[in-house]
Amino acid sequence: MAVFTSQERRRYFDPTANPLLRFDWLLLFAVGATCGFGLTMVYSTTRIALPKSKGHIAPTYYLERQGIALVIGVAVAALAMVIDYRKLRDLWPLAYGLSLPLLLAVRFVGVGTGGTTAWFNVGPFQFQPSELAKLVLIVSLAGFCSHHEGEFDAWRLVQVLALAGIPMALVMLQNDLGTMLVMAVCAIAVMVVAGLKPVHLVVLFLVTLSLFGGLLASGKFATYRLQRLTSFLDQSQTKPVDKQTNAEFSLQRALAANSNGGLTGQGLYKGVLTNTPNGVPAQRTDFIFTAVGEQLGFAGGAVLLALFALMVWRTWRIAATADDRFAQLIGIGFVAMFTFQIFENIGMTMGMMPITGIPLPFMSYGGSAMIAYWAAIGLIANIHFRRT
Amino acid sequence: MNDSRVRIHIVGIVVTALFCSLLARLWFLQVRENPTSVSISNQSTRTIRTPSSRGLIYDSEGRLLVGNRVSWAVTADPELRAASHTSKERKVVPLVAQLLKTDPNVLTKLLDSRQAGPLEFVVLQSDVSPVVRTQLAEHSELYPHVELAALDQRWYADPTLAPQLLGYLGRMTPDDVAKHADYGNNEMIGRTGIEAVYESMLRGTPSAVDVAVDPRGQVVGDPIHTYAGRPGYNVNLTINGDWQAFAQKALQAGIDRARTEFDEDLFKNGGYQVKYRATGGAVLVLDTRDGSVKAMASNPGYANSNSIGAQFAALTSKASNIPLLNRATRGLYAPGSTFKLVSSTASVQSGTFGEFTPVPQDDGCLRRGTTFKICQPGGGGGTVSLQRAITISSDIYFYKVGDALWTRWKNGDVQGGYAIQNEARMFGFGAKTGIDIGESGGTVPDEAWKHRLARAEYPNPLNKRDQEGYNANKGWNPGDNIGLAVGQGDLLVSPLQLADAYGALANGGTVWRPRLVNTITDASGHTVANAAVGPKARSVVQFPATLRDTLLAGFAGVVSDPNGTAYEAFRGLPASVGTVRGKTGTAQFAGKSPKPGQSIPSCIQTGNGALNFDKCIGDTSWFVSMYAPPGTDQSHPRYVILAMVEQGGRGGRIAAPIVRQIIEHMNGINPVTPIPQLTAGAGPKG
Repeated sequence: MAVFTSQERRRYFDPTANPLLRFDWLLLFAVGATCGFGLTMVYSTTRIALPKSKGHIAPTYYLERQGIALVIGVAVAALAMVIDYRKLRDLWPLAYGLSLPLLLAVRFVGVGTGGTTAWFNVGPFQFQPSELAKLVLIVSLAGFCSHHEGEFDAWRLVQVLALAGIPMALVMLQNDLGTMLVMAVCAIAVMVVAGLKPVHLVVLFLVTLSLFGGLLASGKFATYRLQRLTSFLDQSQTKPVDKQTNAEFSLQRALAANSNGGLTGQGLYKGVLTNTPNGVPAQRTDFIFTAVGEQLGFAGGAVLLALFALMVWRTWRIAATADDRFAQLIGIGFVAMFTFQIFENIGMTMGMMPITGIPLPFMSYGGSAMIAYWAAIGLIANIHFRRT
Repeated sequence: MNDSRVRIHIVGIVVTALFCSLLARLWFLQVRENPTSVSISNQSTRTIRTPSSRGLIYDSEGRLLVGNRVSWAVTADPELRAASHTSKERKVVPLVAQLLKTDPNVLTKLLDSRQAGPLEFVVLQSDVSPVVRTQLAEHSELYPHVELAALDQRWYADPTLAPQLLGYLGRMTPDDVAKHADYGNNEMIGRTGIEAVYESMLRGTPSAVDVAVDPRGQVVGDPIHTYAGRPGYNVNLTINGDWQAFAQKALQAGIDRARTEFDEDLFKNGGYQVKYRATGGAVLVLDTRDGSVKAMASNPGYANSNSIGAQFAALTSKASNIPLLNRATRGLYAPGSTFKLVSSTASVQSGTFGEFTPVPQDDGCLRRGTTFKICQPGGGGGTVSLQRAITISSDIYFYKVGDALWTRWKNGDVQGGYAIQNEARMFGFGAKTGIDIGESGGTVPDEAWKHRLARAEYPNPLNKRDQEGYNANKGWNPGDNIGLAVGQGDLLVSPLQLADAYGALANGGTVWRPRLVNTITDASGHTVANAAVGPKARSVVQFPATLRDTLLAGFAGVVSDPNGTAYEAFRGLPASVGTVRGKTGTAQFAGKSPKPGQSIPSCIQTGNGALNFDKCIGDTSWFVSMYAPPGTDQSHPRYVILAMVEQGGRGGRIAAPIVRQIIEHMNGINPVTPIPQLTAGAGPKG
């Protein structure tokens, strides 16, 4: 077998002749494998059709719906690849402008669940506009920052903060702290690469800290959220179950489930705490990693982390090798988005991070998120595809 | 590297660091540290049953009458029910109330209700919308202790079709649970009708899983063992759904008509304009060849549903005329002249009067000594033999039969004197017919029965007053036997018994057990062996050919002879529909003519200057026909069609036109002849 240098390879396999070669197959593999992993775990946590009462929804109910979301997501990704991403450089204000009314409307005509009002009913499905808003925000910030080249001065910072602040405020209006945090992290990552001055970053950090402190002091911060945020600090597990807050209970169950896993896990479908409706709360959504941890152990968790790392690495690499600033900033935004969500989500199940409602990309049950992340992957592939 | 590339790499380093810390934490948590693994100990096993889908009920033509449907319900688990009002668990109640758009207090009431046992789920709302289903399925973690359940419910092709016959289901009560150990707490069980009688067939075998449960009773892990269930067997009725629906319609039309007419007796005896109450009625169509019931209507009806139990009080209240009562099998009435079938047979078989013996009608009255006198309405005159006596429904003829037999009894020939009673029992009266569903046995009165009745009314033999009352009422008197001969007095029959008896004449003598179920089949259509549903003869009545021919001719004359009591009702019915024979009956209630020295009928009560007619009971309107459709053996009528309307007036006016409509419908005549409106007092008696 002949060995080619990278230059020879480029010459030999003419990319314009075979566009498939310009496709990032590793990225697709990482995402595809994660999705397969995710479907397995969604099925594992929802398949138990044990009739607590007489009837029950079908064991494949959630699997089917997640499958439908996956198919739609892949289609959306394909669509996102077809159109030249550079067009978005001019079109982002339109997308940005459209996303705001959606975010606002969901507060009033959406359906609420336990303090959060973030979903539209669309027939038998529910649509969560904040998942879409994350993508729009990243593209918008990238568009704005790449358009205004030059020094990232205080005025530019104020403009960018305003641009990011409006959708974040609207998301906060839905009481969706998790998504707001993701948006904040993405905005900071984009700004950092776009040339944010270190001194500004420090100022930003201090201002946020004091704002947060003020909010706490004012007592206007919902108690349940504060409990969620602080419960991970006390993991003594000494409180009896009926005295625990929901967050403490969740955390205790999550830690127990992960611990149960050991090196190789209890076996798929054999989780004591993740194959029963009465074990870890939100097993199929926010706490799906506990199902991996308990049923597949360290081995399964490490494989999943490796897949995620591969996915993030390919995304980062595409950003690093992108031709233009716009593409670079979009890529970094997505790197930040995926990394923060993965770190926060897995971290909270292991008691490293506070408990917030952030889904694990391609794993957690949830159609809007699945479709949005596939759109992001489509956009990244688009960038890779159109390198010169 | 320019500035931005440096920054990109900084991001890369941060990302790498985060991933590494995750991996490290995972290692420590799962492998290195691994604190005491929190597995749930003290597991015990429990069996959870899931009812299999209930068998279906079809009519004789294979039409689905009762099926199944799924109703999505929101339920609450026992934990939530047990929790106190101020507990953390109950905080979900306002949230669920918001979702279900209902009042939280309503839900709290449901949760606190002790109707269900302590381990049962309680249904908060059934038939919930897809939006509620989606919301609950997608965000179940926000509604702890609340979940969706697919409840199997009955589906009715026509909820008003034969509800008393088909019956209904009810949820298990604590009493039921004690009786049926193999049933789940939340299961439905047949309460009445076919649903109850064939419960074991319809239910099937539930599937079951053995599961591990933790000390709190919560399911842990995968099922340990799974047992496959078997769906319930299907029940194929003898009922023809089309005839059934039409019979109900015709019966309703008859009742509606009766309610527009004045009680004839009250009108004649003082001109009182009191409309018939027509409180209910029944229609039966029986196949005389094997006792198959082709239609069984009971009025008033109701619409069957899955929550009929909630209407139990209304369905059994006197004010609504007890719709739940299946009048065809459980209702007991005096049969009136329709009973002359039995008296005739008894008369001939006992040698009282031969088939052709002429019997003078005198002045229409029978007298015994100076104190006893009973007269038929419409006076007397001339002589009649058996055929004529049936056709014109002569009462005096049968008074004489009853009187002669009583004399025979009095003279010591007990068995010969009880000819009517014995014949009645041969025809199946006074005992249950053995039909699948609940029924009443009725009464054939004799001396022993009167003794029992008197003793029940005057129970204490040591009490002088009681003993005097007993002695005064225990006697078997001429009037008892004379009343019996014309189907009055203490005789009580169910419409089903009466139809079955006429079936015996029609088929040549066999009294069949009336049957409602043709076959029982499994899900793939194979018949399940079940001896209980097949045809079964109860007894055989001996009909010498001369007797049978005379009776059939008499019953034919009722319809075809201008003096027949149902002639008007059947006038103009085309000959092409075959042969109709039948007998009217008008079972009278006493007190509608003034007693000597009184000015108004004794049933009318006066008070506060107003007349009260509550005690004036209208006559029971009967018509029993033996109908031979064209192309069948005309001398062995295939069907018995019976109509009965309580407090509906004369048989020829209300019941007979109902039967005519049914015969027309069976022959595809559309529209059927309306039930005629008559002016009070007109028409022959019967």
